[in-house]
Amino acid sequence: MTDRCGTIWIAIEGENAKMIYDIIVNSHTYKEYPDSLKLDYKEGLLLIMENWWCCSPFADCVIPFLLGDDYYYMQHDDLDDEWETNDHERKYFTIPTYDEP
Amino acid sequence: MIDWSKITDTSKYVVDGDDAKRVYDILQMSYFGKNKKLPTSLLPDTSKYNYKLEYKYEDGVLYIEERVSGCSGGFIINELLFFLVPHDSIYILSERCNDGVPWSYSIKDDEGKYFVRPPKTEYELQQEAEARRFEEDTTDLPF
Repeated sequence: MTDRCGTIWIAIEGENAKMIYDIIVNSHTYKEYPDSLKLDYKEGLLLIMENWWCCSPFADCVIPFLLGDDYYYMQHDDLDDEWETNDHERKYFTIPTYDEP
Repeated sequence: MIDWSKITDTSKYVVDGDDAKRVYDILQMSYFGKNKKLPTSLLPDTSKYNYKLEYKYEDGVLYIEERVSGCSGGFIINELLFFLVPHDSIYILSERCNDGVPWSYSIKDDEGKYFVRPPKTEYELQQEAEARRFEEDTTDLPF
């Protein structure tokens, strides 16, 4: 067993945003566990937040299978206090920086 | 020591009922459906690993076969299906081979609606015999 957990934020743009929003809201998982993913959909942009524990099948598997690499994400791993993002141009996400104590 | 490059997993899935067409449409619209390959984030090195996915929709039933070798991209369809549809809409027969020889099977179709589990393999029989021996040994312990 692992205590690894964290949070991932995903941003999806354009036509993909509506497609993924429809897939999620009609999915079995979202209907049964509506708190598992937090969604914010405005025309042309879907923002998703997932709190994961142990592993994240949605962010690690479902989204890449559906979209390839065509999305932005920022992830925090609580155990190691590590951040990761593929949004290097900071379109949606910027990895937080902390002041030295 | 297991040589994982020689391990192959083949899983056959069936989705029926109202969910079959919805899942088929999602597969068709997906990155995989459009490109017939996994993105590099899921399968970084196609020269080392092998992943094959085939599916067809026929008479209201969706048939899927996923073949994974060398522990590549494993069980992606499993994660996708269980995210999309209820547990009881999915039927599965999985075969694990070691160097081409069937090693073990697992099934999620107890009524045999779409799949019948093949007879137990030599490996499975050996595992069962070992488990029985272990149980007998531990029941003889004096505490």
